[in-house]
Amino acid sequence: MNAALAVEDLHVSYGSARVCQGVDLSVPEKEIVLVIGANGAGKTTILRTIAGLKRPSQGHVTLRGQDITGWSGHQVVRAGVALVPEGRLVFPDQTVEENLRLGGYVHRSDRAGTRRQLDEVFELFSALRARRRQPAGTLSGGEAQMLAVGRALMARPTILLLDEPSLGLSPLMVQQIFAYVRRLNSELGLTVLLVEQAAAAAMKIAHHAFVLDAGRVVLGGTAEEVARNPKVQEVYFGAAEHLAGPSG
Amino acid sequence: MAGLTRRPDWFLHPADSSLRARRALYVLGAIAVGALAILPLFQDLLQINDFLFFFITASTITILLTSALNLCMGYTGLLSIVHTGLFGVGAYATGILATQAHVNTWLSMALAVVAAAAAGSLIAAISLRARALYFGMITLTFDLILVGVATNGGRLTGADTGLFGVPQPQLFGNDLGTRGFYYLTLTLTGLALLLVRNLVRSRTGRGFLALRESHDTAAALGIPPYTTQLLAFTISATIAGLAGALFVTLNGFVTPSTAGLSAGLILFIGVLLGGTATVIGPVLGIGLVATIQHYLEVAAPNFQQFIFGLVLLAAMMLVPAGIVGTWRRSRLGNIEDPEPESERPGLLVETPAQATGSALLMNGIVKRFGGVVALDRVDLDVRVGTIHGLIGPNGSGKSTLVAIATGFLQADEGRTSLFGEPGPRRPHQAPRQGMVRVFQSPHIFERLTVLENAMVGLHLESRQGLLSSIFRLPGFGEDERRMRGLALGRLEQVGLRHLAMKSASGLSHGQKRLLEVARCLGTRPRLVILDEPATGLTRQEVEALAGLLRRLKALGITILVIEHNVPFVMSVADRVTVLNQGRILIEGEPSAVQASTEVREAYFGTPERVGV
Amino acid sequence: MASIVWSGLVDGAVFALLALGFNVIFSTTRILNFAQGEFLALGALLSYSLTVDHHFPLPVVLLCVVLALAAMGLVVERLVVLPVRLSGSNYAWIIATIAVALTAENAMVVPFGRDPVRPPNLVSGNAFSLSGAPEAWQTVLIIAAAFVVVGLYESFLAFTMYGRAFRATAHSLDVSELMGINTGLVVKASFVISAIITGIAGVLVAPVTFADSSMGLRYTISGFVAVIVGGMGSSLGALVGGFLLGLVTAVAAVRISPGWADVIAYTVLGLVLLLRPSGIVARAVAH
Repeated sequence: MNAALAVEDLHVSYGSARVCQGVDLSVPEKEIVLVIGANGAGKTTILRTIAGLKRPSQGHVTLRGQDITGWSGHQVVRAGVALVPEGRLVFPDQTVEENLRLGGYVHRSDRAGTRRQLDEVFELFSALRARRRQPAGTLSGGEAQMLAVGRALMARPTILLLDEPSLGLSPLMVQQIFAYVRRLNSELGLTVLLVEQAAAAAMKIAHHAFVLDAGRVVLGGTAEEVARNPKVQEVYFGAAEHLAGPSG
Repeated sequence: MAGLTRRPDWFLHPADSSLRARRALYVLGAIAVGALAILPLFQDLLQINDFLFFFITASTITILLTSALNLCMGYTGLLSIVHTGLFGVGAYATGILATQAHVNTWLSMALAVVAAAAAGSLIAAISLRARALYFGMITLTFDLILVGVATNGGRLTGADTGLFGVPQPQLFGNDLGTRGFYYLTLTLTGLALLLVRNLVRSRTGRGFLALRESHDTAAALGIPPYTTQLLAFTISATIAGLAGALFVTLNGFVTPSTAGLSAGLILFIGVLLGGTATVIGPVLGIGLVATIQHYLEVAAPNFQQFIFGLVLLAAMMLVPAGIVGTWRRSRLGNIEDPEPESERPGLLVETPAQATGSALLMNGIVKRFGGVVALDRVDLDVRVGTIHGLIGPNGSGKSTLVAIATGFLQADEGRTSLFGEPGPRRPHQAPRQGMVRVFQSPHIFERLTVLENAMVGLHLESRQGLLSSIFRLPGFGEDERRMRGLALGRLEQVGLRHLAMKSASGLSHGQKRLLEVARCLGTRPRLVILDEPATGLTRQEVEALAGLLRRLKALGITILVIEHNVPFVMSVADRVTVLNQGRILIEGEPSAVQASTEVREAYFGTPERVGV
Repeated sequence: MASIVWSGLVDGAVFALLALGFNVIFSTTRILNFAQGEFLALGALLSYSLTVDHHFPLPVVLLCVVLALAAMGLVVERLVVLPVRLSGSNYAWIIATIAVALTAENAMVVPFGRDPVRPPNLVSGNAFSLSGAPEAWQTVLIIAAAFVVVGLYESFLAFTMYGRAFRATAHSLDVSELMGINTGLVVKASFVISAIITGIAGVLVAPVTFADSSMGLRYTISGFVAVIVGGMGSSLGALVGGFLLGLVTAVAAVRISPGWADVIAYTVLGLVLLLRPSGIVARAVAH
């Protein structure tokens, strides 16, 4: 089975703190895969390691069979994997358009293609078009999230990594963001690896899901299977003697 | 190497190759010192040029100055670019007093040392007020100013050409001479190194190392950052001034460039190459460099500075730990010392008198950062003798609340009280009020042993004064043994007693976490605040931690745990407070919190249909 | 008085260019390069050597200087960045850059010797007179150059793709990598650009003052004062700091004494570091 992206026995440490202690997961082509777990479980670290911002102490990252472990960030982007980082991290003094153009840095010599890509992003996120000349620091949380996703799309990735896009957003915005992600997957065929703490909404758009606890994958399967599994609650909240109903 | 003098057995019967190596080093050292001492007696026999003694004397002065720099930079973490300037103050003050005011040379030297100490104290007092990043740059500025004053001092300082004709100190009516200086310098330097060694292996010295590692952790253990750094710098300046006084009387002159930047290069090399935070490092580093320098002067005088620059850069890249550090990490050099003498640990922790009420009470806390309200009328009541959990999603304000409780931040509105008294205004006051905080990233002092780490926690407990540490007055030994006993007791409490003499850098993450708890117990806390203690721990380590917390609670200690690992908190806490986006979501017993739908929504999000 | 002010502006323009050189490296690496003045020294000494000793025409001289400085920039980058990364100490950058400065200074003695030299003006003739003394076109060139170079650099940052990559790297190395920007290359480029800017300043100032292998450290310190006073990370700050320093020291040198003028400058520096470490033109340097 051809996984677009796979992570094998990944061990990542920050100093002596072992954040990832043997993570295995795979992302099938053209699917949305969700990774959930409490903070400190290692979710963000997995994405940063895949994206080339952190070196693992052990284990491998493979992209369509090719070992990309230890590749630097810009090399991973050029290979078609783009990360939308936690907290969005747009460049606040640069305008929306400049941010987007920076996202397309790897394709900067293809002017016509870049212009087309820019139009497509504005098509997708119409609110950004109105603000294209505004400094990104003045955007609201939801707009910044759209900008961050749009910026990643400018790199024309085949795989999109999303780190907690719902962080700090209102429930309405969260719905919208996940709707966009679903569209990107169904219409553009983008493979998506999504990391979330607020699991319930994300579960609805995912095909497969993994649950991370203390640096390891403790549960995996289709999104429905995982969503229904009472162990998920346990991982988050400990012994679930007083679970209040199936929908949580 | 604490306590080795009390255990001569290892010396006579070394058990393994590492101990044999260490014995060999000691023997070598003793031979070297002995040789230096009697060398002048063999001058005629071995046809030794007077120059050799001059060279050794001059190098020893550099060693003295480098040790001074090592004290403030290597041990306390204060980068100083003004040490050559302080050296210059010692030299110029001696010179001016001796040549212009015609003061007796010995007296001039003594006064010059005082002058250097005063200058160092003043410079540090001013520089420490700046933010940490700028401390080094301000010392650079001071050095430039000192050189500028020397260059433009007219007749007083001799301006560009410097001061000349400084008379040698006299002994029995005769000039000290080459041999006299030789013995004087070696003796004074040896004495200074001994006193520095005494200082760094004491409560004060441990305080320096703690500050170097982390200001926050040191303050949380009751070590006041500003005054401690000021002390370190002043002592360092005193030694630098002494070196300057010796220099000018040995050579008879001093020029402004002596106090400048280029002259300081060799000092940095000596510190880094020898090994920061070691007493013998400067000796080895300068010894090596001075020898190289001598041969370069003969062989390729023009390339001296050039080669030195490259040597320094290479040293930073290849031997970042220096000669001593690299040796200690090697197979042969990596030894655990035997456990030193200590008193039997007495009562481990006292049960606080107050058995009920609020340990920590926070009412109506509001905190704003710019336009964002981080905390919106938050209340927190941690009851005495309980374990209280504080949880909440990212950005909920947990860390901000704790920062306010411990004095790192001030609230915009609301009150904090600790065991009935107003909360601390500055972080280092917290331990005196019975509260100690363990931070999220472990700030273990990697250069110290596990036991020494635990002893840092006893900073407030120990009665060692500065003078008694330096001169090893009678009270020192007793206090040190008592502290060791208490520290070992704390280590026993957390299950690390068997690792007491191991270097702290070798511990696993979980063990470091336990060591931190042991260390903070040294402050006799009534309230311990743990900041995400379970992060990065394995399953077993989390369980061990939970067990430890329950044992501490049994001793009457109140505990506040901030965590993301909710199952862990639920398993140990008596009550849990949940924060979300700066507000209290719910507060109650773990089971009630676990069952709450609001909490699930805060963590999981609302499971609405995501339509397209 | 007017001619004192003018010479203060000339000095100030050079300080401003040095400050700009500091800024370029600081923006991408958060390192204050204490070897900055050595770039200026190389520019000055090499231009003298090629013009006077080898009689190269001006355009060739400029080309050679630019290439030499680019090479030097790359070498200095390795000599600073590697020790900083490998030693793991917070203060490694200060020691490394000072070591590079002293090494470079002594390395330049080999080809150029220690004697002070003074090449002829790049542009001959006098522009006008102030207080009775003629002011050469060279001095006008220097002052103009400060503004032109700053203008070019800011345009580069604002209007070109590479300039945006620069600004991105200055803001966050990680996020820039995520954009596909090779930040290692950007850092090297910043050293090269900084070296060239500062080297050009050396070429310009050499005819006006004596150039020798030890001049680097003096100018480093002046540039350092200028960049701290003006505000790190800001081109406008570089101009303000540079010209302010030039004027103050020129006036002080005449009114009080040249030696004390420097001491006054350092005292001002110390006060700024204490009271307003972000400088006069305080700019939010996010990181």
